[in-house]
Amino acid sequence: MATVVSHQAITSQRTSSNFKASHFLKEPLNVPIKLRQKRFKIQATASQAPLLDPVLSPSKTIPQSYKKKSNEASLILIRHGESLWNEKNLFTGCVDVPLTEKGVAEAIQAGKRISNIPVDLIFTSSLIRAQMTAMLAMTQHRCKKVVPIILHDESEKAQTWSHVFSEETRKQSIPVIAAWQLNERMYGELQGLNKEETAERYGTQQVHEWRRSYHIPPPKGESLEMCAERAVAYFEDNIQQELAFGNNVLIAAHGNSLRSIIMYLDKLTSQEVTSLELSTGLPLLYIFKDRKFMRRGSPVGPTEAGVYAYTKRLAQYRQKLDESLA
Amino acid sequence: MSTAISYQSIYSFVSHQSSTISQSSRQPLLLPTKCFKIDSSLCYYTSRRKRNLSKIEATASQTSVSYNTTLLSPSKNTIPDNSQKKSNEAALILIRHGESSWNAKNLFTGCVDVPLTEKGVEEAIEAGKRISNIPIDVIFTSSLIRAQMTAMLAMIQHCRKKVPIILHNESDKAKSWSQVFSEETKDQSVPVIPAWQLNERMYGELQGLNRQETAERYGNQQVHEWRRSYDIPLPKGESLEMCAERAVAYFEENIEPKLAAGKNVMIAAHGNSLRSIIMYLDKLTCKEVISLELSTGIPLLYIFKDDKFMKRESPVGPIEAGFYAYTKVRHRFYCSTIFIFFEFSVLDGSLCLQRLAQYRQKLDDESLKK
Repeated sequence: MATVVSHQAITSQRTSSNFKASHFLKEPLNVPIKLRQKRFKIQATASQAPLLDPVLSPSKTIPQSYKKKSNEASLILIRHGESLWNEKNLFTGCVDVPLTEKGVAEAIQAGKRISNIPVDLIFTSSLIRAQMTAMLAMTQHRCKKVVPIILHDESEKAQTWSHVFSEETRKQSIPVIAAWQLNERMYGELQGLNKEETAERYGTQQVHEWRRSYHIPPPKGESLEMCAERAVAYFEDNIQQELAFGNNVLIAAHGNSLRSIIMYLDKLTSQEVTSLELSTGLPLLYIFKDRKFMRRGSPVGPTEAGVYAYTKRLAQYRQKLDESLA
Repeated sequence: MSTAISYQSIYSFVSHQSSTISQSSRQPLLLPTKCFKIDSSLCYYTSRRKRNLSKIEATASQTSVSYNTTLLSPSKNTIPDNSQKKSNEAALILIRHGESSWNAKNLFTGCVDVPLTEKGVEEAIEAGKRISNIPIDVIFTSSLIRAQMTAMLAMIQHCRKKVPIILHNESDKAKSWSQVFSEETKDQSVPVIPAWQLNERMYGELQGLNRQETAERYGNQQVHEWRRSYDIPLPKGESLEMCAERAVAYFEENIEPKLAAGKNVMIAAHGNSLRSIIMYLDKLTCKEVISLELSTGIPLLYIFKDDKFMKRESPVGPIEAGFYAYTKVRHRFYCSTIFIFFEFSVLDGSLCLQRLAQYRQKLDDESLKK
């Protein structure tokens, strides 16, 4: 992908999601911890097991070529709704402001739309507005059996303290992984500034350039290109392999991190991505099959038949939900 | 502890008298204005000698929350000045988060980071309405999402419309990335500080187990012992004592200085971390704290003044919530009751919660202007 050239911006630490989730599962699985190399791209290889493997029992070890759960997987993208600074018309970026009442309602509405689509794994940014969006959306999910659990790996203590000691409970949990790489684009010196003030200070054209250009960063901030680099790298390294295994994923994140990912999924050009606007609170559904991402638009809602006509697998899932809740 | 005893007697008084009092006159009475002017549109209550406890039904005005005000022991005779008052007293609000997904499934949660249910979300919003008129300058939460969500949802209801911002200190990068570059915006912000020390008690090997499994695995007697004990830790987990140690230490080192500086604080946390703090605030014994049950989503208000914490029960909230609270009288100490207890003095020179009342007045004025 032309736009993702190097991973120099990315830390050389261990892949956080593998580390967190393998600890969370605490089963004797041989989940290899992928080491990151600074200078070039790393593809997810077949020998690496994804972090969720409900098919295998704890006594078996992961074979070299792991057994896929399914041939296809759903990927849901949700952009969080209105935040308190959106309402005040302030540049937010990576400042951690929460949702407004409207943003809460948007999250719940989004949840209703995806209430029939299976979710095995949730990725969010490290900002509360995305996390709240995910958690509020999941309160609407029709599969009441499973409960999202946010994984903590900020320290050994955090990991130990959040450990779950019941295997049955673990199996009924959806790991939620918070990743800064999915954060909103960092807006540098514009963070906290009023959009009008900024226009007065720097000029409307300059501001327009920062907001709409692909390469140009605001002072002390990120360009869309830089944001895309870290978001897409994270997606490729941590999320795609889950989808390849057959795990259904929900990503709750932000305008810029999500359109970066969409740029990757839909193979958009940099010009196309700068004019791409994502509606807030409207989930987008992709089906991952045969290593391809097929865009399926926005699920209409639980009452519409259309949502389960996306694929046979989704239709069957919906049927199972209906039966279990009948 | 005199206040504890008095709560006890008041509780029994409440249960006998409640039905007769509920319909009684709700005229707010003006305090003797010996030393300062009191705006008659504020709700004040009668005063008596200091240390007499009186039960007064809280009234809710049409437009805003009303809550009790108290008078301190006679101190200054000067007209209280807002800027002086700021350093003299501060409000402390404690909120226990509402129902979580594992509460609903009856699983021991501890430090596992599970979110709120729909009911828990509603409880948080309701709690927010109750405290919407109490000033908040800084918020402390645990590092668990259910407490953080409770705080954020509660603040959506807040009248002042300051924006909570969660501070990130996990790394230099996190700090620099979350920097705010406008002074004016910073002034309109309420910092939110997550702290693992305010987490729920760590339940060790019980985390994720349901009560039945636990009884089967460890035996009913053991479980019973754990519930009754202050200092026996759960396997690979904490005792209530250990939880209290880290929660109270954090409170003393990080929260109390803020209160002493006049900052109004809200803490959104969990059953055990909060009752540990309450044990410190109210000087409870180990036995008392074990039997202390905190209602979920019902905020508790304390006033910090002259190095002392004065419990002010739960802000009543809008009228409907007041009646709702009335029907939920359950516990000895922290009932969600319509009656609010306070101490007052007729000879005092200053009004303990005058600052809060003036703040509320300002909010009312602002909303009228709109």
